[in-house]
Amino acid sequence: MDLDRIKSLIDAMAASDLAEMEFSEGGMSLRLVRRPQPADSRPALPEVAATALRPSRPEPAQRVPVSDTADGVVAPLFGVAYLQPDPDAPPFVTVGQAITAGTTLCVIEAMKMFHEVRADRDGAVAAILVSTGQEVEAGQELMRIR
Amino acid sequence: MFGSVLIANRGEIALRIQRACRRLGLRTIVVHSEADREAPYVHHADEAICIGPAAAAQSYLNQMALLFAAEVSGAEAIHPGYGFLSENPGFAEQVEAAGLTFIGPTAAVMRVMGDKVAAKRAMRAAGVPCVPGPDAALDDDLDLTRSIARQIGYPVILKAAGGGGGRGMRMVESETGLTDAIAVTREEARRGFANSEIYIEKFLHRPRHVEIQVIADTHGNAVWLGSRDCSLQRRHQKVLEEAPAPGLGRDVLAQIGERCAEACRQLGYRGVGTFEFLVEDGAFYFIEMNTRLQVEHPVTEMTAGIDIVEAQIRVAQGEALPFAQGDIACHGHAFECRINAEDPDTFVPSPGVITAWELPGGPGVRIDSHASSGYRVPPYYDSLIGKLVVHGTTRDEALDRLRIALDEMRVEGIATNLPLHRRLVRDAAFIRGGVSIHHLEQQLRWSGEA
Repeated sequence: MDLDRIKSLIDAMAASDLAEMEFSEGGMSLRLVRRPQPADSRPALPEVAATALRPSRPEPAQRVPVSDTADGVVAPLFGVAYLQPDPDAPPFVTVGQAITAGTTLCVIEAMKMFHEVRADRDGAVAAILVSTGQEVEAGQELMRIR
Repeated sequence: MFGSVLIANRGEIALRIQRACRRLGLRTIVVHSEADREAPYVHHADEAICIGPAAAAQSYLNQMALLFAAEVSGAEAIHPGYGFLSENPGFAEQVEAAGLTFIGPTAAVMRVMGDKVAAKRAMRAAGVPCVPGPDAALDDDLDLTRSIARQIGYPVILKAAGGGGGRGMRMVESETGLTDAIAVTREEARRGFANSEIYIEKFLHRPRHVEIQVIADTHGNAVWLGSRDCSLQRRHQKVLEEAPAPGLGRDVLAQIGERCAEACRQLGYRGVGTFEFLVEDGAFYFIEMNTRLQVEHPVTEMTAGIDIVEAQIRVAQGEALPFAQGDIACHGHAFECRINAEDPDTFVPSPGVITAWELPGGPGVRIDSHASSGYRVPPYYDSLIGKLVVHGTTRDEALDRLRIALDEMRVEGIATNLPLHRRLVRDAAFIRGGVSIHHLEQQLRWSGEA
């Protein structure tokens, strides 16, 4: 991989909207990463992308009430999470839903056995942190209850 | 005659089959799910093919993916192992339709044995003793059913024709509960097995589970290789097995064994199979036949001195059995402990990374396992991570060796049922031999574990 080849790859990536690229050839491998630029010098993003970014970066003021009072519900064992009793059924719970102690929140399957994860107190579902079919470790946070 | 085998299974049995294939000089193709990609036995195969995601329904049970893997790898035969598609006659048919050898019986025989009523009829015709009760499904005539139940004598048990392995059964203590029990069992059968046919039998109170291993070739020969006692069960799952079944007369066993071999000849059975019986007060009652290799086959290998998987593959290749009934004898005694990744007290599954894996050894000790230190037990499949098999010249010697082996074995990082096995081999009734199928669950209840 000579210098011209590397330059052409940099040009190719610059011309695209790729954030990261890895290229291997003849035992050599090259990884190119686009470094996020400071906000003021960042080229204007399309409006749609900017909106999409906002929910994942909440303002500190919005976050505080959630993290201060929401309890994490963790997986009792290593397994596969299911948010609904079967593929065609509605989910056990949805975000914002009021729940009481004992409500089934999700199911963890391990080795053909299903373990219901239940709420240990009354409250409301603040966040669902896993998706159906996802492998979860013992102790991994599955949901938050407010 | 085939020169390559696709192993349509995973875990310890995939490794066991691979070993037999390699001894026979056969090329092995191992299929695996994404979750089993890093398993050591996958890397030992001549060829490894990923057939789908972790979930068994999308990989090990995906018939199209398996047939496609066989096609692209040039496999000439498929070994189904146990579980998954091993007793699926539709799959066996598709394998043969694709011009490959299915290492197992014909689809037609699998269908007869899969229907518990048809199986019972076939067994009665072959002179194999069955549980008292008609070898026909119940019809809707309740008066007739009541008179049949009265004739058998309460308690009776209702069973789904499509069930098996302990599923789809309901005990009825007296006539008052009969009508409701029929309705519920029929509905469960319809939902669980897509077959609402049910049948009625005498309920046995304290039976043992005894089974007979058979093998048949395509030249009309069938022999039985010995008996096994698998009475130590929890929720119909076998935990610890032994060969031969202790305390039963050689003559009685030989008579039953010969009936089983004769049934194989009458059915045109081929390959390995197991006739399962309940035994109460010395009498044998057929319950079902498993038309495949069984988890506990090694105890019979140890006592008969025969590599059952190798013999199974050879008869699938069209060879005649290399031994006759007169060549088969039972030498000494053998035990098998199923080592499961589960909590020994609560039985909650315990998948995860094995951080320490120390195995026992010495004369008469055998381990069949795909696991090792650093192996990650996936959460997607059953909890069996290995089998500890021990042989001795007498039952006492084998039991001594088993106690020492269990004490030597150490698995860390995950919970296993080793502590349960260590307790079982010191249980007075088990040491005497011949406990019933309820013994283990009774012991667990007494010590506060359900």
